[in-house]
Amino acid sequence: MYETIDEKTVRRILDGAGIPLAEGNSDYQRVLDDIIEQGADCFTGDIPAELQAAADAKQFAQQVEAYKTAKARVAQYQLSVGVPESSETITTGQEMNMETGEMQDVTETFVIPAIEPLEATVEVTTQEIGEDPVTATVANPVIVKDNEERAAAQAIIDATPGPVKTHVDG
Amino acid sequence: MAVKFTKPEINVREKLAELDKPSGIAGEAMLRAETTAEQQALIGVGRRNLLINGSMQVSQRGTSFTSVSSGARHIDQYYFEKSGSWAGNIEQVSDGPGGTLTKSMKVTTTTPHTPGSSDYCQINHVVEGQNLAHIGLGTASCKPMTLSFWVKSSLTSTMSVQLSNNGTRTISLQYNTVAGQWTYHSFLIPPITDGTWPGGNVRSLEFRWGMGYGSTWNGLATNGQWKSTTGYAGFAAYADNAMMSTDNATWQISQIQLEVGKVATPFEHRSYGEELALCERYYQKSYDKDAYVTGSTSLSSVGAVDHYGSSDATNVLAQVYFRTQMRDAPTVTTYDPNSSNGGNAYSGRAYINSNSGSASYNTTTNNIGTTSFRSYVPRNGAAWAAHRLIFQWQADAEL
Repeated sequence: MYETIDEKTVRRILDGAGIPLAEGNSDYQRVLDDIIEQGADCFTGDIPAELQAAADAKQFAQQVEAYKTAKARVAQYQLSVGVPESSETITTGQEMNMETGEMQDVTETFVIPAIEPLEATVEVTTQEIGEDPVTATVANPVIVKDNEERAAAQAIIDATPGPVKTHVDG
Repeated sequence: MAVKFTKPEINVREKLAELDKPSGIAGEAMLRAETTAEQQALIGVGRRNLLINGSMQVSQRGTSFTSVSSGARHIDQYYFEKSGSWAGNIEQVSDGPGGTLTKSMKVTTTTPHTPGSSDYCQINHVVEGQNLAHIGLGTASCKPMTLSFWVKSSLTSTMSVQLSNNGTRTISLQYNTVAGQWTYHSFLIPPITDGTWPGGNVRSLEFRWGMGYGSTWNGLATNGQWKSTTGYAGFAAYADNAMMSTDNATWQISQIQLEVGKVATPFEHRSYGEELALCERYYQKSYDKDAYVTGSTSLSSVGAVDHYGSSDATNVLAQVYFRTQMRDAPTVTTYDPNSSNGGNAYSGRAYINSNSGSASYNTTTNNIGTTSFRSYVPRNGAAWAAHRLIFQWQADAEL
């Protein structure tokens, strides 16, 4: 819990510490985090407008970062699906067109090989002491982890407020 | 017949004698250096250690801490973090790599715990951004660095230390301990040419010495190579978790040095006074050297602000100046010397010489900057009369 001392300081009620509203002070950053997480419950009296604005700005920046990270994660190819073969044409330089006398781009087309999907299942062999080995077929753990991370990233994207998406995506 | 001799420009005999000079590999490298800068880099002249209190000399908060909690500060510049039910103690002990005259930080497991997937237990250190500006972290001209330290454990085990920015670039460095022996470790840290590395007076390079890690953090994939990470999950630490899961296991560390260059040079010993001044940029206290915030003292305790003077129309107030300019405006807590109650002061707030109204009062602390702060209690007596205000204090601007 906190309370306002003046426009530049808050008091942490637990130990009576004076916390300056200084960007580089780790306790000040904790005050902002508490406002983000608990809202008015962490303050005795009203949260000063400037402090609330700082907390909102911090939360917005955190959401922007999380949204960008989540988008980048979802954009990675899915291990269970793979990537089909594709090609890309890039400009490698310029040369003189002898007929027109003008410079023109020289392009080269590269084939990007396909990435095969991973096997959906793998065999795992375990052996207890004094017993025969037992082989079981289980879901490929790499794919399971990939799918979990993708789902978590998609959940972040879905929960991101519209203004944050607009800020990032334009 | 006259014979004419001409002395050759090169004295072959002298040149042959030079070949016998005992210059080792390092000496050869010095001879081959083409510039003074190269020579300086080879022998590491000047202030070399970029880390503060690597010798564990300074411990302003105390020397023995039991059942340490996550995020708490102990020996200056180092802090502990954990997740999970592991419990243990941290001490500053007179048992360093140089014998009993040198110090080390000692961690002891008192409640062992086999880490669950997201559990961890680590000792951290953070370097202020502007102290690393000359290394060029995150730029094409980044210089290589070398990290060295001494470790002693009650166990023979494998552990690692992780360096990172804010979790997007990480390097993990693996090392082994030998039960009961101090062992020296040094690591070449290749240049890191990308990632965000804040400058200025904020957190930049972070160190984490792991006692144990769950599967979320564990699994060394790229020992000694920088990797991109999304947050700290998957930062490829490595620990066999023996320290975390063995009752009474101990782990000690000292003489930690980070320096520019590809070679570890001997630990740079700084005087206690010099190291203390460096630590005080991040934390300082009014208490005497071996007196700490916990534990009650007395009104006449050394270091207490004992302010006699006039008050303004409403408050009895004292202005306090820090010994060293602090990194940023710190969090300031005052303590009544009688009771050690935080956020308090003892005040004869009516008149100095009558004890009428003398008691422990809540202080208000404001006007906090990097050089000073002000604390006061409401006045209760004749306006502009002389009053008294007594308190100890601590100021925390840790990264």
